[in-house]
Amino acid sequence: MRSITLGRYLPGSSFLHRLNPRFKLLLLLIALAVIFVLKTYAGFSLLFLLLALAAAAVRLPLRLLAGMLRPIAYIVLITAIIYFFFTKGGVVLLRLGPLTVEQAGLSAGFLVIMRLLGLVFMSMLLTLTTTPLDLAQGVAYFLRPLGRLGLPAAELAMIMTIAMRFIPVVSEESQRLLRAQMARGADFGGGFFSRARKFAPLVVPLFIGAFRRADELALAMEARGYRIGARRTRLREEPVTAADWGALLLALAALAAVIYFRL
Amino acid sequence: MFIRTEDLTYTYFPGTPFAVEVLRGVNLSIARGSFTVLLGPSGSGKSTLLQHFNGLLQPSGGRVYVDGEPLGYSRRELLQLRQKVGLVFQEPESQFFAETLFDEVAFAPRNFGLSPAAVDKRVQRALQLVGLDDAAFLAKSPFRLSAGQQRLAAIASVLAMQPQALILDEPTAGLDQAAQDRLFALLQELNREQGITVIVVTHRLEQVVPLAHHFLVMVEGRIIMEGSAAEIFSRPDVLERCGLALPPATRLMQELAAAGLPFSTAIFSLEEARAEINAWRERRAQR
Ligand SMILES: Nc1ncnc2c1ncn2[C@@H]1O[C@H](COP(=O)(O)OP(=O)(O)O)[C@@H](O)[C@H]1O
Ligand SMILES: [Mg+2]
Repeated sequence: MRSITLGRYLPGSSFLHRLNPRFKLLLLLIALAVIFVLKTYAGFSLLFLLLALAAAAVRLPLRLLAGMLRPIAYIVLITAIIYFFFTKGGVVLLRLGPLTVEQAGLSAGFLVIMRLLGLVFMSMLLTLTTTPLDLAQGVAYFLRPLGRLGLPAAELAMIMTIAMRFIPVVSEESQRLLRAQMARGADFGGGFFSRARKFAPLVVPLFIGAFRRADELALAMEARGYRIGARRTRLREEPVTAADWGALLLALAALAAVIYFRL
Repeated sequence: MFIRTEDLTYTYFPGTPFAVEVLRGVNLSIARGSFTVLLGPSGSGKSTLLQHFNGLLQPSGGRVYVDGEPLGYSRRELLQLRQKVGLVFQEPESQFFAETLFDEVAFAPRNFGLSPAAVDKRVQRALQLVGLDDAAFLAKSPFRLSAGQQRLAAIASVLAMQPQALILDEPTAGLDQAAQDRLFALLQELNREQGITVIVVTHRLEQVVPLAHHFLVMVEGRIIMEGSAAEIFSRPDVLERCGLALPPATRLMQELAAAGLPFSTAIFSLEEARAEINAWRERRAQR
């Protein structure tokens, strides 16, 4: 309950904090491409060295990092085990009854661990250094061209921004409700099924609160002249700097290098 | 002493960059059967403190004692504690989920595994205490009650645990004057007739002074002052730090006394002020 959830912003003024959110999204995209092209241990070592440097620059505390990785540890482990046992080829390394771990399985498993960890680590660096609002605005920017195809891009962006804005509110509210019902003797411990049965006292008030807030927000937006389809400008424009372009070029160069040198 | 804390500290999200030290060494004692008011500016840690009394939050440092025993935090101990110390959250009607008032108030006793007959009795008793015992209410949706009735129903849902202490966090927030009066009358009855230890966070000084035995003033995670109404009101500067003003009657008497008239300043309501002034006029007329 006290864990810090994925997707939290860590206030700061590091190099990553100061990059333009749109460029950070592009960087993440390129980095994802890098991760899926990478296939040597040397390549991954290099990648994690860079990520460690970035984490140090952001002043990411180790405890926080561990806390954020814990929830996905199971997923990574289970996926890796599936690869260990079901990718066949090469020397048989381990035999467990009818199951065998072969050399190809071992390297496929390691690869998948590296990829998943790298993926989570990089997404984490993005959300830690970008406020949810900036993130939503960044995504919205890339949706804009789709407006010409008839997609309600501005409205989608607004929905995303509002959703981001309310994630902490709803998460705080659910914590409060949890404790309020515990004060009335509710016991949310126990296994998954016994917990699911006790859902109503949490979910019902949470939904009622969400609907009430949505109503109030709609009213407040209308009162301030929000109309679907109206053109809007932002109060705070994120400037694009030379550093943004530099970072983008570096990332592209890295991707090219990984492909060229078959790292 | 019914509730006692020793050097209680609490930090949200300890060991992360989001850490906030909210309680910074709280020492307090609350007597059994007393009526205690907790004052303090918003953000001073009042709500955080209250949640330690029924084990919802576990201290980062220091100890909490209830009924002379240091609190234990096993599941069984917590369940027992929550029955003993009832906590009414701020805007408690936002926890409603049941289809009928009966089911809402029955939630707590059912959680403690009482028999249906015992649950029925508890619900009737709790609703009777708050004055919602009209049979027509039982099958009504709790969401269809008026704001004041909802607040009372939420309090009943905690009273149904038959706690020895009742803790309320800003129970009058958002209520109109009549509903506030009704609520303070209820708190008085619970404390004086039922012998329930009451601890309340409120800013309605005038209304709570006649009920209260003891005041605690919290600023920035510490209890900076405690005492009776007279002791607290002799320090208007401290109240001001809490964003509180003296009751008008007290301020009037303090100003008159400062102007040289022989008035007591331990006066908190207009009725008391009127009696004091009339007594003085009679004494003067006789001379
Ligand atoms: N669940 C929480 N998580 C993190 N910080 C909190 C939480 N609840 C309260 N705080 C912080 O603790 C401080 C005290 O809050 P609170 O106990 O609610 O004070 P009060 O009830 O006196 O207004 C505030 O600064 C608030 O931001
Ligand atoms: Mg509070």
